[in-house]
Amino acid sequence: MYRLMYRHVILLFFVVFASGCATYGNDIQTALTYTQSGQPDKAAQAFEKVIKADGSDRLLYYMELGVLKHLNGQYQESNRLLEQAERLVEEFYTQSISEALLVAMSNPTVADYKGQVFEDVYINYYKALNYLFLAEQATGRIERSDLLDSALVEARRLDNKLTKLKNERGSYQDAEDKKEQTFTQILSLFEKLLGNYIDEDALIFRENAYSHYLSGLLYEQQKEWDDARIAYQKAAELYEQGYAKQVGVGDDMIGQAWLDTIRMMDKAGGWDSSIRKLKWEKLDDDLRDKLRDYRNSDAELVVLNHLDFVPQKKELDFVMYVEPARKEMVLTPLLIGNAQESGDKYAWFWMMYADKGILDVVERYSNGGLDNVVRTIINKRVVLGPAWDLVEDLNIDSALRDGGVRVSVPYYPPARTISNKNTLTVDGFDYSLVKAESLARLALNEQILRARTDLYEALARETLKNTLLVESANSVLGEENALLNYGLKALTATTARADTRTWLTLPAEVHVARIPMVSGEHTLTLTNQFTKGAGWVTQHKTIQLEPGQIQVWRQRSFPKLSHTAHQELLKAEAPAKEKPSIFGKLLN
Amino acid sequence: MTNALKKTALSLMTVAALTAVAGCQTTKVSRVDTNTEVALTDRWNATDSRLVSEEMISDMLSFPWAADYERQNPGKRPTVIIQRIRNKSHEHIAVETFSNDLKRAVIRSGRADFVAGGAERDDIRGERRDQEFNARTDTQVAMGEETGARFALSGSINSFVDSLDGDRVTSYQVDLKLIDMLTNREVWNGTKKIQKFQEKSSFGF
Repeated sequence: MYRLMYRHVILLFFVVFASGCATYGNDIQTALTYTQSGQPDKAAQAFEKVIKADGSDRLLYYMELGVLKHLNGQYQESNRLLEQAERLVEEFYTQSISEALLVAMSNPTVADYKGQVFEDVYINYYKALNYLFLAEQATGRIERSDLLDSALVEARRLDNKLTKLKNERGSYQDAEDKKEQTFTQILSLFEKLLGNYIDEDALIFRENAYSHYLSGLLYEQQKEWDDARIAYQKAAELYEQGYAKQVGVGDDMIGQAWLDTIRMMDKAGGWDSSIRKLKWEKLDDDLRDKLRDYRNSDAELVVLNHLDFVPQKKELDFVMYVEPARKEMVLTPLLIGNAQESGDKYAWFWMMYADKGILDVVERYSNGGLDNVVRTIINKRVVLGPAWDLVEDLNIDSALRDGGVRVSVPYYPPARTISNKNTLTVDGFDYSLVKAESLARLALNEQILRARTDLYEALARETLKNTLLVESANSVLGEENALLNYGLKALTATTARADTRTWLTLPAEVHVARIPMVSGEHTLTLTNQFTKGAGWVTQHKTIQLEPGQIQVWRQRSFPKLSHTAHQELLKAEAPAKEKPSIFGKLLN
Repeated sequence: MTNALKKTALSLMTVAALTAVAGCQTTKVSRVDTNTEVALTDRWNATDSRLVSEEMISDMLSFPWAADYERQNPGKRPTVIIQRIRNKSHEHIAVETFSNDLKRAVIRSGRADFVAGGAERDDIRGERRDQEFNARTDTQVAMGEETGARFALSGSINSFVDSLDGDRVTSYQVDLKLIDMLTNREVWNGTKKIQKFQEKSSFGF
């Protein structure tokens, strides 16, 4: 009777605690809201209040502040911070064993945040942009050229990193070739039978087409036509070989990259036959017209439209317990939150963890009929079978029964506010922007690939913590004490946390427009149409183009602030009310 | 508690204690000779800049151009101006420091003189113009008395990187050339390469 009551109390405790856990996104929400409202200086101040330069989040400190300073036009300061970030990433290559032990006894948030591979690439991307904009502000010819050379240093670092990545993970072409092999096709069939419908090869980040495209632009700025051609061509080929599909970029960007390759061939000279061939193979009528426009222009406008933020990771909680009668370990997701949140959690659980393979369903059916099949839809059950003896030997069963233990893993809810129409108006003429990059997709792909490891690590961690604590307590008392066990489980539940840290000031997507122009003054309007009632966002700029100039306009666009977010900002800005002193109270 | 579990717990506690002790390091700073190389990473450093400049200038002066000039202009040393040395590497190299190392190596040899160029020359000219209005006439430096450079030194710093897992080979190549501005003849062309190998272990305490 008491045992049943304790079991319900501990489950209630898990639910209450799980719903109260703050994610990294919650921690820096004020800074993100300030950024969205176009106040990166205030965002930096708010950010520095919560994230410090010397803690386990120090890499995030340098990366997030690097972007905020960039958005505030403090390019040198941004580069200083991002250089620190890059050095930290190098340091983090060596994994600390002591840190791994610490994580095993607590949770992954106590470890240093080491960054994701695509984030490392974007450190150099932002540094390159900073140098480019410093070069645009330079007054002297030599100073401008030196700053453009510094931007190219970042382009070379990007290239080095991406070459290393390709050597380690294989190229997109390798992945395509592998798909054609008979053995891989048979393996894929079995994967599907086992319920794994995710093609991991298609999600692995192997190279970055957009970074090469930016490198092409930087080389072109410095009039190094051969290097620019190589970079643009590399981007075009990578988009074609699988990058475009991996991040959801359309054919229009592939065409744009080929157009720029052809332009560089034209400028360098000696590529006439290749130009003739590529023009008909890679460009459509519109792009061929655009190529002609370049011949009648003496300047160019390049718009890099950075959209919104990358999505935030949330926390998905499970209760893990054992069923000794069935010799099974069971994971039940805690689908707490409002209808949308619980729906997202269930969708992630089903997509990543649920036993949905044909072989699983057949096994469940043979072990317990239809009832057992239905139960597996809302749980993940692991048949321990012969491993059950080991579970009993290590007393894991006593730690995991009676209410189980709490386990947390990160997940991504689907993006809800997206920009579905982006238009650039130049002197009254409309041009569409094309999607060149999706960091939101890169982040999601990385998390999908990590999901199983995250779960296994979390299971092992919580099992170890609970088994050690329960065993130690019982050995001190000399007997098993159910009440104490529940108390200890409640204690360990408070330390179970998912690592929800990611570089959140990065944009979700990058859209590009390149317009051949005639030198002189031009008025620009950038319009982004966001979904879900976030409305139209319009931004204006006037530019003065010199002959031969390539003007880059990097513009960040955010959906309008919601009423709640606006209220939160007002609250954050309101001066803190001073508590009246004792004397004040007496006088009143 | 089972023996296996006790052992695991004991091991974990021991490692945690060792880690705590290892973490009690304090910051220590010591002076080192500027000629001593302290290579913390495989990046281009002050020693690379000094060694490369000394070796390249030594090579440059061993070519016949300096002796030819002295023979044609008895009692005079050739004057050199540093034009642009471009950083085409993957590191943010302080090119000005490298240029200064080159100048020092040449001046130390006593075989050639340097004249100011670029922004430095503009500043000096500005100073002279200022003297025309503000300095006493007997202390003014006259305009139009500059020493023209006969030779122009220019070049680039390039790099190549090959890396896999924790290993990285970085090669730096410095290419310099000296041009006789009177004849446009390239009188010297030198290359210096340095290569560094960095290993990083995947695990550590």
